[in-house]
Amino acid sequence: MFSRRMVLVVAVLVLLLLNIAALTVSSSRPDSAGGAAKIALHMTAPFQKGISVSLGWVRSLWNGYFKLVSTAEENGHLRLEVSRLREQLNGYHELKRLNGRMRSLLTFKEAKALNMVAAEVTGTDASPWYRTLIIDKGTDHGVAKGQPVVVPDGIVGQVIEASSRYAKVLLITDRNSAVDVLVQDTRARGVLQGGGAGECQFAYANRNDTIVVGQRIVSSGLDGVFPKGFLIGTVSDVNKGVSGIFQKVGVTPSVTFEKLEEVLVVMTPKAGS
Amino acid sequence: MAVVGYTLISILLILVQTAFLPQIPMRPLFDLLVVQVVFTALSLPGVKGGVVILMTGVLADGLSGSPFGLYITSYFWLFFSIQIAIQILHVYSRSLIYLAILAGIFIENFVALLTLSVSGANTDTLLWAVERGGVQLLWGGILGPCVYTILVEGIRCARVGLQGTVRHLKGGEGV
Repeated sequence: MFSRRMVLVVAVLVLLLLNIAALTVSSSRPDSAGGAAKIALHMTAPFQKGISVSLGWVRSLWNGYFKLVSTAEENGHLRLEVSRLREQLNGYHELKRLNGRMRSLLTFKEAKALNMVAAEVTGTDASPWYRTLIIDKGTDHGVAKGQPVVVPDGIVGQVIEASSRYAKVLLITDRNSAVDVLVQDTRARGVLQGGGAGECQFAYANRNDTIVVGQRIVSSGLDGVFPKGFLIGTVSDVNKGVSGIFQKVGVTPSVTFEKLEEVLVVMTPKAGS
Repeated sequence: MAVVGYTLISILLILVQTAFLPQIPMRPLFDLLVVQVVFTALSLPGVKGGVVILMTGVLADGLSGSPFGLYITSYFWLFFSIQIAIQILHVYSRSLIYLAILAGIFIENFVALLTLSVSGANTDTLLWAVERGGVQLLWGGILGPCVYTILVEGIRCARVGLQGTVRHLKGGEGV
């Protein structure tokens, strides 16, 4: 009755429609990957960690050894000796910097009196439209879905997926992210939404609230996810417009996401405290 | 064996995009996996190629913060389109590879725009996504064929090396 080609065309159309429907459903949930995310994390995150560790080693070698060799015009013995010492020194410098970062994280952790776990960033999202990170701590270390991730500079995001040893973190700059926030000076309340391109929007800011460029934005703790009083960013742009009950407020995050190496996962968020 | 080999290439490219490039630091200029999909579609057609594409899509979707299915959808339809194009046009040329890479980047951006609009993205975000798509197409047009050549040559070298090792081992058995 129907030709083979006709059946094929109909099958392709049905498949296309089903595909669009499935994609529409999963678009409404940022954590829609489920088990697939765990498989992907298991299969790739250890290698990601290996690459980041190896590249760190190569970088330190490059900075310490090769630069030295190219600049020194001394005899072979001294050059070798200096090179060895410089390499060693570079290692100490790296350790010193790491120590500094860790000390800053520790001071921050103690100051906040929250139960936190330090984690290393091993990978980032390859897609330009979404913003996530992979960290090297998972359910084995007590990391669970929904836990906030912070650094001394401010809030990074929250865990959306966790395998036994790795976890995926949704950054506050992702457009699926929303944080209940306050303007620190005026206590004007709103919701910080990610814009996707690296910036954030202070949504639902009442037109009557006085918000000016440079004001600090902190978490309110009312969303039950992020602890109260954590810095998020500063107001970068205010546009009251001519109508409407809300004003448009742009926020520049205080965290430089591209340079994140270590983060803290808050194990027991004390929302509102 | 071929499925495992091609999937390993996908994992390697995923690692380059998610761990290597951010360390430089640099964001991928376009999705390198599109080139891998084109390569798989042309050199491993049929069910085997389909399995590789599915695995690649699942891994990419699992690691990304995008809605699950964005990459599977993009890679599957690109793979399917190339298979159809080969069957209908009976062409296997450099221009087909070039067009396929551009088509792949276009499909991926189109699917991303679809998911963004479905999830209620505002006009600014959609415009930004379109702009990103244009930039990706540009970079894909410039670098895509180079990445494809590197992929082909890399695999050819690996195959030669592997065959040499197997021959050497077989020779050793006889002694």
